[in-house]
Amino acid sequence: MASKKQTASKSAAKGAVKSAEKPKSSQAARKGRAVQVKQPKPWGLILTFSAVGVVALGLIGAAVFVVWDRSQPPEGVTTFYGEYANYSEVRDALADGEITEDDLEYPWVMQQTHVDNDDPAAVPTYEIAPPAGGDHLGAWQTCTGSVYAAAIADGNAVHSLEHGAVWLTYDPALVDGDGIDQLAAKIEGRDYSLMSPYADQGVAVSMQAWGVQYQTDDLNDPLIDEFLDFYIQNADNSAEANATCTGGVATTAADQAPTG
Amino acid sequence: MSLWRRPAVLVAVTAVLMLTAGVAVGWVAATAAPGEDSPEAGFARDMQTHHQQAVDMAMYEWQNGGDETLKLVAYDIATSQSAEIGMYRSWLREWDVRLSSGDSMAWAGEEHAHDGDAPGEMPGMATDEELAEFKTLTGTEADLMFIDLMIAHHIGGVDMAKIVLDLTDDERVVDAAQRTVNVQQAEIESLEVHLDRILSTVEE
Repeated sequence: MASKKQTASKSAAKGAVKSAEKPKSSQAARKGRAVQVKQPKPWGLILTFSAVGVVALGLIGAAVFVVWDRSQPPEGVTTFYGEYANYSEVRDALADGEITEDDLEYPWVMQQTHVDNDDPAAVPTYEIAPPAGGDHLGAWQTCTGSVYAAAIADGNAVHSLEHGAVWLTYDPALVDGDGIDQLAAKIEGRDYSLMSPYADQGVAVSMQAWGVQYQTDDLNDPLIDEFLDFYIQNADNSAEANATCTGGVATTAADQAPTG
Repeated sequence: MSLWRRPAVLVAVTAVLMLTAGVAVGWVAATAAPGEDSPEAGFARDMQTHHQQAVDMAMYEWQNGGDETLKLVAYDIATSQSAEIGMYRSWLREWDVRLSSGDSMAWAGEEHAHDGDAPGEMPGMATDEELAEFKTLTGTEADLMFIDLMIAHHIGGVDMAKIVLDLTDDERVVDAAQRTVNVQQAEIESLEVHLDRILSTVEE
């Protein structure tokens, strides 16, 4: 019994000691944690996960750039829309009353009258050669990947540009037969494009879409293809959206030349 | 701070995040719009061109044909195919791809590259010479050539629609292609009936 009591009191004493020690031990634990905070930071982990984050952000950035870049016109193209990016923006600015046609450097980008409506013999004149927009003839030049061997009327070709076509002209004095074949291969079978010789344009190749132009002496210039890809039926550059390239005129200067 | 002390938790969190990102990327890729070189985009581009020729021929027949019933068929073809051209064009703009390419039928795969009269040509297209000849005709002569050209044109259109049906799961494209097969097949049969009728009146 006595021994039992002793044990009991012993254990009680033990418990007392334990509980007395408690604050001490928790203090020690706190102390221990404080010590651990002072341990060197795990730079390896921090760097690894930071790098993963940077790579992820880089990928997102690259994707955003690719999407944005695809909507940008090819560099080096001459635009006649002044400070505006394209036809749609100028049209909106005019509609909102921000500007009038007189404020435009090249008002012809917004001029789309058929000059032969009243007088069938009337012919439009253009500030630049080859022209890249402006008043034109009532008939468009058929532009279903059409390669014309002789010159075509400016007024018909400009009407094709209004319909969303790209017109490739070459200077016959600067491009030989092989060169013509090389260019024709880009146009043949490509809907909404047409090609014709243009005497004295002074540069081997000139590309026209409504309100824009690109000229180059290099037949292998990748911008020729980029211009076709970007401007054919471009939704922001449609002077007359959804018009057709079939059913136009297919006559050239050769057809109209006196045969006698 | 404590997170850095538990690499296991950090790795688990990162793994879950990356798995989510992977699933998201996969889902977006699987449901994304057809791309530049997809059969859907190629089909829409080519059908746009193919339909335009039909509209061109039908408009000529509407104006210069002889048979009033056939002229009404031509009116139907010109208006309905014009509407479909607009549909193809809006797909292409929505998908943010080129509106035209120089490689007709490239989307259809190697085995169909020669379905047209020449390599890379669409099946059923009238040649420039045929079109020029047609546009010199009027009355019954125009009617007969219109039927010839349009039957060949529709057979080609049905072929193209069947090819894309083999290549796509895009609901809109499947729906439009199936409609093309049904409508143009029916029109071929109807044109054949008109041909017999017009021929019999000519012979009388």
